[in-house]
This record gives sequence, C-alpha cells and structure tokens, in this order.
Amino acid sequence: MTGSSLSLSAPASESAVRRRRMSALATYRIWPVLIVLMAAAALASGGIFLRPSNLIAVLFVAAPTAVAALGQTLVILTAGIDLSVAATWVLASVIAAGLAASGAPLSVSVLAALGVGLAGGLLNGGLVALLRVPPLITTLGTLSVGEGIARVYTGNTPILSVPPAYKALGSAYFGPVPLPALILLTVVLLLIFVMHRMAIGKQIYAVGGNPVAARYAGLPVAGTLIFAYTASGLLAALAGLLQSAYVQEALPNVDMDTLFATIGGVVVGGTSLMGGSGRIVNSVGGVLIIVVVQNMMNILGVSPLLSEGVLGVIVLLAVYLNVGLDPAMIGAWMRRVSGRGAV
Amino acid sequence: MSGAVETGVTVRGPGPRWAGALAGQARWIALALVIAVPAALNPHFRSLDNLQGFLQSIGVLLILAMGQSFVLLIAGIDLSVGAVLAMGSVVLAALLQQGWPLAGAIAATLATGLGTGVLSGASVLLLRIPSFIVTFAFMGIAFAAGLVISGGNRIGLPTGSALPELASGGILGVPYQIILAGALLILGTLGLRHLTIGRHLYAVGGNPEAARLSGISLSRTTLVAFGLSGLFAAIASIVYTARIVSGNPIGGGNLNLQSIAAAVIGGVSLFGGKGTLLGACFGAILYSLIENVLNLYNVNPNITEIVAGVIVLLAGLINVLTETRRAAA
Repeated sequence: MTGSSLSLSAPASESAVRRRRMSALATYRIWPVLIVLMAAAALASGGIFLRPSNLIAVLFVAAPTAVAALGQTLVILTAGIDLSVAATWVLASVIAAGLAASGAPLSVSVLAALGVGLAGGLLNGGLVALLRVPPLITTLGTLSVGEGIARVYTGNTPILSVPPAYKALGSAYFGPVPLPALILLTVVLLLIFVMHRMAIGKQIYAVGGNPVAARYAGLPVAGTLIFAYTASGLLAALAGLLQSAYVQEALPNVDMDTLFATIGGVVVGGTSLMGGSGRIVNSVGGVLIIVVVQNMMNILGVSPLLSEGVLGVIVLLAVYLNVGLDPAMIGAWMRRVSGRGAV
Repeated sequence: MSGAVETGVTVRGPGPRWAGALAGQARWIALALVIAVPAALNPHFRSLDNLQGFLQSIGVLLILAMGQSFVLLIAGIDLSVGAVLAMGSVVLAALLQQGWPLAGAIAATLATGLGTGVLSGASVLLLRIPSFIVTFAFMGIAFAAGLVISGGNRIGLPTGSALPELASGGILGVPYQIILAGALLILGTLGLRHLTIGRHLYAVGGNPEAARLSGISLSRTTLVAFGLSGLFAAIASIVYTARIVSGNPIGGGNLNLQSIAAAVIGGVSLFGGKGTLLGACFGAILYSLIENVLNLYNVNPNITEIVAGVIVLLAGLINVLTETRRAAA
C-alpha cells in the first residue's frame, strides 16, 4: 500500500522528503549549534573543556536547570510564564535539606519537596486558569511569597550540611552516568510521551496556539493550564532537590541566575513565547548551551559579575535569532520592504 | 481614569457582579483599614516622627511606580526598573567619587536611565516580542553593568557631598523627595492629559489596532513609554543614593515587584489604556503604609516579603475582577 502510493507520486515525494528533512533540521537547529559551540569551547580552552571531569561537571550543573526548564517549557507552550520556579526551587530545597539534616529519611525529604512543588503549581494554575490573573503577575507574586516562606522557615540562614544519603541523590553515578543526568533523561522521555502520545500534550499545544479556538473545540482549557503549572512546580521542586544534593547546601535566597538559565534555556531552545510552538527536548539543548557558555566564562576567567549580563544578552540574541530567522517572519518582512501585499 | 479611552467591547470578568463592585472600591476600603486600625491601636503610628520618617521613605517607590505606569499604560511591563535603579545609583556614586560636579553626575545618571529605557523600547519594537522578556534581559544587563562598574561593592559618597540633603532635608517639614515626586506627578499628569503623545499612550494601550489604523505611531509611543520608565528609574536612583549615602549595585531588590504592585493597586490596568499617575502614587503610599505598619509591630521582615507577594496577587486579582477583559493573558 505504501509502495504504490510512493510510486504514484515519486517526483513529488522526493522533494517532500527533502522538505521534511530541512524542516526537521530547522526544528532541531539548536543541536548543531550546541555542537559548534562545544567545538569552539574546546578550541578556546585549549582542550580543558573536553576533559571528562569538566564534561561531567557540566552535566551535573545542567541537569537540575534542565529539569526545571522542561516544566517551564510546558507553561511557555500555553503562552504563559512561570517566574516562581526560582522560588519553588529554593523552597523545596531548604525544606528537603532541612528535613534531611534533622534526621528524616530520604523518602520524607523527597516527598516534602514534591509536595511543595505540587502546592505551588496548583496555586499558580488555579490563579491563572480559574481566576484569570495574568501569568506574569501571578508568578511574580508567588515568587515573592515562596522566597519569603523559605526565609521564614530557615530563619534566613543557609542549611550547610546534609547527610550522605541526601548528598548521593545529586552526586551519585549509575555506571558512568551521573544520577541527575539519568533523572533528566527519564523526565525527558516521560514528557515526550506525554506531549506526543497523550491528549493533554496536544491540548497544551492547542491552548497555547489559539486559546479561543481551543475553548470552542470543547477542550478543557482550565484543566490544561493547571496541568502545565503543576508540572512546572513539581519539576522545579525536583530541580531544587537535585541541585541542593549536588552542592550539599540549601540557601533560602532566590538565585537570579537560576531564573535566567531556566527561562533562557527554553527561549534559546526555540520555544515561542507566544505559545503553541516548540519542542520539549530543545529546552535541554538550550540549557546546555547556557551552561557551556557559563563553563567557558569560568575556564577563561571572565568576571562572575558579568554573569547575568551575559545571560541577558544570550536571551535577547536567542529571541532575535528565533523570531528573526523564522521563514514566515522573513517572508512577511520581505513583502513589507518590497512593498507587495498588505502592511 | 477620566482620560481613559472608551473601548466599546465590554466583557465582564469572572465572578458575581457584587464581587466586581466591591473589588472596585477595595483600594479605598484597604486604605481606610490600613490607616484606621493602627492609628486607633498604636499611638506611635500617629506620631509626627513616624509621619516624617514615612514621608522620607516613600520617594523612591512613588517615582518608580509613576515610571512603571507609563509602560503599563501601553499594556507592557518593565521588569528592569529595579536593576536600572541599582545601576543608576552606582553610576552616580562612582562619578561623584571621581570628582564630577553634582549637576554633571546627575545628568549622566539620568542619561544612563533614559538610554537604557529607550534601548528596551527599541528592542521590543525590533524583536516584536513581549516586553517582559526584553526587560527581563535588560534587568540582567543593567544589573551586571552596575556590578562591573562598582566591582560588586558599595561606593560611598565623597565627604561633604550635598546629595544626602535630598533625602534628609526639606522645606517647611515637607521632604525634598516628596516635592520632587509631586513635581513629577504634576508634570507627568499634565503631559498625559494635554500632550498628543500622552493621549497616544492611552490609545495604544486601550486598543492597539484602532490606534494604528488612526495613524498613531506605535514605535514612537513605545520608545516614549520605555524611555520615561528608564528616566524615572534613574530619578528614583538619585533619591535612593541620597538616602543610603552610597551607590549600591544590588539595591534594586524587590523594587520591580513593589513598583508594579503600587501601580496596579492604584488602578493602573495590567491590560493597558487605563490608569493615572495619581493612582500609581496612591498605590505606592498604600503599599508603603502596609509595610510601615508591619514594621511598627516588629513583624519579621521575611514575612513582609510574603505579604508583598500576596499584595501583588490581590492587586492582580482586583484588576481582573474590575477590568473589562481586552487582552488575553
């Protein structure tokens, strides 16, 4: 059956195949960029970058951020934004590390962290979906509330030691693979399944692409939004857990670099801030690009004071390249400058 | 609000009608409660000392909230005001340390803020993306610029500098910073009401498509709104530097959140096209009163941060309940 349909339209299908290959390359363009960047990093650092110990360190640093960025991707796909990931991250880590430090078993720490993420996500989702408060304002508010609770809980002092079992969560190896990287891989596979094989995934794309049409089509818009914010909360909490286990401390203060890296990773990965378009896995590539740049700055001895400025420039540049190099946008621009068609 | 553009289509927000009506009056009820309850219970709140201290503490937020309002009016948001304030503070203190005259250093600080704002506006136009992500990026850039200029440390003002007088002095008991904020309020309000560009800000925020079709330049209004926000952040940074008698590269802190909260509490719509500078000032005063009362009762400052977040959420909720929905979130 497939054979006959192929032979019927052989010339057309050949160009269709090429077009599909080109479009796949366009969709996943972040990965060749990452490879080029890594090659440049290897050259610029005189090979230091490619040392196994450095690559492993990059993975350990990138994994928690990428986990949080995956949740952020779901929210941005719905045309929302979650600024509160940075607070959920911090609150989950101080509560989990605090419990662990006071002798609670690891399972209690993990469950408490995920509980924080679940509660924060449901709160955001409820405010956005049911009360229709704009996502930016909602998560700006919960960012402050979450950080405040973390400071009250810790008395504004960092938790500086955690038991070995907790530490292992962020620094153990599974064979040659760091455990956080394995957890990241699991989350990626799970989300790819959710986004492309389950109804909720298609609903997220639909709600972000055109909320009015989604509502008229009878899709559960509120439920979809609540799902996205809850997933973001849970994954931010998991990220906080992994990172605090890796660095073996938990600080009650929101780290702006974390917020920049999670949102920046999604944007660099090409997910549209207007919602409805983007790929889950590309956000991992986006985070890796940001972490590689940070790693290079470290190796080359660039002042850490510049860190957030560099991240800001990367975000702007990424948005510019993603929007500016979108064929549809270029087509519209060409029509405009050539004076053909409507403005 | 009197100058707001009528939009035609009115769709009610969620919730019963009485909730909307009550929410519309919520800020007056809140102000009455915030003043009446502590005044009745706490003699210190009524004291002249507390009033004086209060007036000397609100100049920065008053000015920032007005600046933020220009951007909110065109349905944008400026997340960079806190970082621009920190950068301005560092620039001012560093120039004074280098022996610049006060007027020159202030002019350079204002130019820095104005330039950053115009650059944000230009990026919004050029990239055609939501202003929050552009100003989010500029927050990082301005913050890093302040850190690099200062080396990450506070910069003290040279001894004998006249600048601190701006924060501590006044005429007939009215602090200079309140006079400055009042002058900006009058100038800004007159500009919004009587200048063409002022009315264009309301029109673009109220209905961008109609504004475009009637020949209003989106580019010019966007550049003006963000330029004014940057300029006001720089003016606020001068008051801030005078108050803490140094340039502080990490001074922006919660001021983004506070400026947005103040403007929205004061009736400036998150959806654009509605609100006044007077309302934003009102919101800034209400916000600061709540903080003042929490301080009077020695509430843990970390709890104050939670309260700040809750105030933003409530302000957003009130805005949604009272607002006709013109823009999708």
